[in-house]
Amino acid sequence: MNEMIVSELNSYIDESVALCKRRNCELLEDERSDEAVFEKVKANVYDIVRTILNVAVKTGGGEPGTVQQFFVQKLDRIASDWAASYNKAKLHGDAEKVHLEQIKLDTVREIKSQFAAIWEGKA
Amino acid sequence: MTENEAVSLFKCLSDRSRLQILKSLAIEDMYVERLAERLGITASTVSFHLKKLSDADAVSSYKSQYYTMYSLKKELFTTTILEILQEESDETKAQAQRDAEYRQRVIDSFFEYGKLKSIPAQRKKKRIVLEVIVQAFEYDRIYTEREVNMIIADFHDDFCTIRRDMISERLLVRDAGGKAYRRIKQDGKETEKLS
Repeated sequence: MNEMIVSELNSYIDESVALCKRRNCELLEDERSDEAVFEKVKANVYDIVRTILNVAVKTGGGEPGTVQQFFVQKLDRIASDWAASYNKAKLHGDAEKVHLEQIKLDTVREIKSQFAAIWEGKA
Repeated sequence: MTENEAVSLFKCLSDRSRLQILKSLAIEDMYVERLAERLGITASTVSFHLKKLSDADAVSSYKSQYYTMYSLKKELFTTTILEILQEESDETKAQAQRDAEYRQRVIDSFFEYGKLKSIPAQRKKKRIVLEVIVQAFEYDRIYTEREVNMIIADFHDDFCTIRRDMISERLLVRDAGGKAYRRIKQDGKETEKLS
C-alpha cells in the first residue's frame, strides 16, 4: 500500500485525536464535564481506528485493496456492535447510553467518509 | 427533598450547559432544536442534558403540536439552599438507628430478667444503664433517699453507687439538704426495652 496514503490516514487520526483532546480540556475548563467526556469518547474511537489501520497495513502486506477491505470489514464489525448497543439503549429508554453510542457511530461515519476520500485521492 | 435528591440536583446543576438550558427555560418553554440553536450545541447533546435535568426533577415536558416542549419546574427552584440543609438527613436517620441498636445491645448484655448484672466500667455504657434504671422514677415526684435506694435495689444491690452515679450524670437531682430526690427531664431517650 502506498506509504503516503497510510501516512495521510495516520495524520488525519492524529489531528482528530489532538482536536478532541484540546476540546476536552476547553470543555473541562468551561465546567462542561459531560461534553468533555463526549470528546474523550470520540478520541477513543480514533484510537481504535488507528489500531485497526495498523493491523490492516500489517495484514495486507502492502496490497492496497486488501488493506482497505480488511480495514472496512473490521470497522464495520465494531460499528455494528455499537449500533446494537445503541438500539438496545434506545429500547430501554437509556438516553445517556443512546447519546454515547450515537457519538461513536457518528465518529465512525465521519472517519469512513474521510478515509474513503483519502483512499480515492479526493481528500 | 431527600439528601440523595439534593446531591443529584447539585451534581446536575454543576455543568454550564445544563445551567444555560435552565436559564433559557426560565425565560420561556422551549423545544430541543430551539435550545440547541440558542446554546450552539447539537440537538442530541441538548437531549442528553434534558434527560439529566428531568431525572433531577428540574424540568418537565409536554407535547405541543409537533414539538415536545420543555419547561422549568419553578417550584423546585423556589426551595432555598438553607431549606435543603435543614432537611433531616438520611445519614442522621441511619446514625440514630445505629445508636439505638448500640443502646439495645448494651442493655441486653448488662441486664438479665430486669436485673443489672454488673455496673459497666465504661462511662458511655454506664450512662445507658443508668438511663434505663431512671425510667423507674416518675417525673414531678419527690422521692426520699430510702425510696430511691429501694427502687434502685430492684435492679442492683449496690444502690449507693448507682444513686450517686445518677446524680453525677444529672439523671436525678438532690435538694440542698440531701434528703429529697427528683427525676430530671431528659431529651426523650425513653424507648429502650429490657429483655
